[in-house]
Amino acid sequence: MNFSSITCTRRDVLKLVATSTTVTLLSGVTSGCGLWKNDIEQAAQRMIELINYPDRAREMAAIHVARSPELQQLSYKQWTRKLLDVLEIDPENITKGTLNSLHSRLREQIKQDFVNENVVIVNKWMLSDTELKLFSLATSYTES
Amino acid sequence: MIFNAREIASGHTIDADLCIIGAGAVGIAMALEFDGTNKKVAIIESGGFEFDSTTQNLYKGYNIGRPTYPLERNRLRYFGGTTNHWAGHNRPFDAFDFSVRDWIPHSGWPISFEEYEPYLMRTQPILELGKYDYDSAEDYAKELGLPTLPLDNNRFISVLKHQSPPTRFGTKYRQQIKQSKNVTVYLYSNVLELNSNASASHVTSASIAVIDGPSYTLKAKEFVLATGGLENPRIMLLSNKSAPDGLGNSHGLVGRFYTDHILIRPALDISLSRTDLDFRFYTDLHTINGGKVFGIMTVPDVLTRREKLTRFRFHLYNVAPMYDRPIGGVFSNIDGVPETAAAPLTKGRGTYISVHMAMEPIPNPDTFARLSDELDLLGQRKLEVNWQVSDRERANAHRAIELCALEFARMGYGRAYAPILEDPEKWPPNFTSGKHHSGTTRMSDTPKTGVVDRNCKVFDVDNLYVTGSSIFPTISHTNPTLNLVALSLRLADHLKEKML
Repeated sequence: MNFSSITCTRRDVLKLVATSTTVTLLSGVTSGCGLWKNDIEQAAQRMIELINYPDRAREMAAIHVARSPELQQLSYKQWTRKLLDVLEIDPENITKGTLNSLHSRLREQIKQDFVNENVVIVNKWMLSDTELKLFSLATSYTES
Repeated sequence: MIFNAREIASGHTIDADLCIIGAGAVGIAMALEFDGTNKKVAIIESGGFEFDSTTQNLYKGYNIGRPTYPLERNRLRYFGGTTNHWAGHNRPFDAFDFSVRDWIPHSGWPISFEEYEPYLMRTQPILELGKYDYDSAEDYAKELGLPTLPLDNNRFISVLKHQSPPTRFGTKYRQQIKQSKNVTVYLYSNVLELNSNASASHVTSASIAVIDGPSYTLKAKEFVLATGGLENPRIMLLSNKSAPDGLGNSHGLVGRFYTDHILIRPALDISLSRTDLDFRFYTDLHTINGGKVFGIMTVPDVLTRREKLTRFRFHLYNVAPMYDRPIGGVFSNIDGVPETAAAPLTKGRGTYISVHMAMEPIPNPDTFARLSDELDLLGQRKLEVNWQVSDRERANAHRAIELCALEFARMGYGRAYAPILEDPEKWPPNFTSGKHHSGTTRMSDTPKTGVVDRNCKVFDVDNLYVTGSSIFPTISHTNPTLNLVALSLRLADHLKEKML
């Protein structure tokens, strides 16, 4: 699998964590790659990890977003909140368990999109609405 | 017996009990049902044993509707008929096909599947097929040690198609006909018209011409037209001495309702998110239970009814996809694929599957095959054919493809690429007809809605029968050969009861 741009970010964070004296202070609060991040950013990072070949995903998101000007202005935080909303997760109450369950919940939601026909056509490809949101998040996160 | 009609003296008259016009699958299968009886059967065949372009060109005509294949290209005019280039795919119509579907105008057959099915069973060995079983896909796959698709059976089901060798009727059954004492094939014989009594209620003879050869007459007690979905109505329309509009055409229905399958090949391509999938049950031929089979995807009746669709099927192929840049690998993790099976972002074999669709059309009285003013080599009016497809059929195709795309993604197999998804208002460029000319002498309960009755007899003509795909009121999604041979056996039984 290819997590190129994502793994780089995580590695940087973990490097920082390893040399920090604040680790012990924070370790009980959150876990994973987002120790220095706020909850939204941690959730964003965790969700983006689900994407293989993020560059190709961003291309699809760019085509989709280009068709809807109102989407072009959304920040990664707004995309993250949209996705959390889809997953029925309260952004003000993100726990370690929530973060750990994000992948499975996204997978299930995307599958349900295809059951419920909650899909978008991008360049003749049928994609789930949730996965397009995810790709849009990946795009805006890189740009942020 | 097989007779070269070039040797018949011009003006000669031949007598028979039963005259079958056309030595294709239907004509030969029917005639063999009479082999060994005390009835004299004559089969009138336009060609010889080999393809001949002069004879073949008698099929030439005009497409005046939606462009499709030239009329002389997609059928064959010599002994064995179109089975000489038939691909050999078989699947029967089922009970649902015979029912009246209130969302499909002009649907419903006057016969039931129950009275039809025994003839399907009898047809299996004629087409050199295995055990009569088209629905046990899961059992067959299990026996073969192959996986089936984990389909949501509320939306899709796997079923079987049987593959004929394919049976070339002209080769396979030539010897039996040659040795028959009561069945005679007259080669190089072109029926110009059927002659009838003054009220056009009884056919007395067929006028026959040989290219650059004699003309002769064949008298018989019973006549069967078995010349395919286009020539059947053509001969009826050409037979207009007693009936100016053509035999059996008092309601103007001969040639009307001309129809054909709607094919989109490919309909969609799946860029796979995983490389550990095994589609061989669907893409390969499997020898089992005395025959060869492969799996296809179709939809359950309940979905067809719920969504008010016509019927359709999907075939899977390992042919190169339409798209230039795959996306399947992007979704490997999303689809929960084991890391070792994640698809690369390349267009190599094993990263795609191509899905072809065949769809049932909606019967349409405004599509037709009729006589043009142009004449063929024998001075007979050529056909002009108006094939059309409707917006509703396009919407039907779009929905079918959409459902298939949804299902492959739901299974976590990848994502679908299909031009019609992007532009539902436009038929995709790779859309064509199935070369299954049908519907032109449709079977019905009344002469106001059809040309032949439940016994394939032309309404108002007491001894003229029509068989083949022209009598299908609806054509499902499936290939016609098995079904038209089965119907011809049913007609043979009816005629035997009447004649023997």
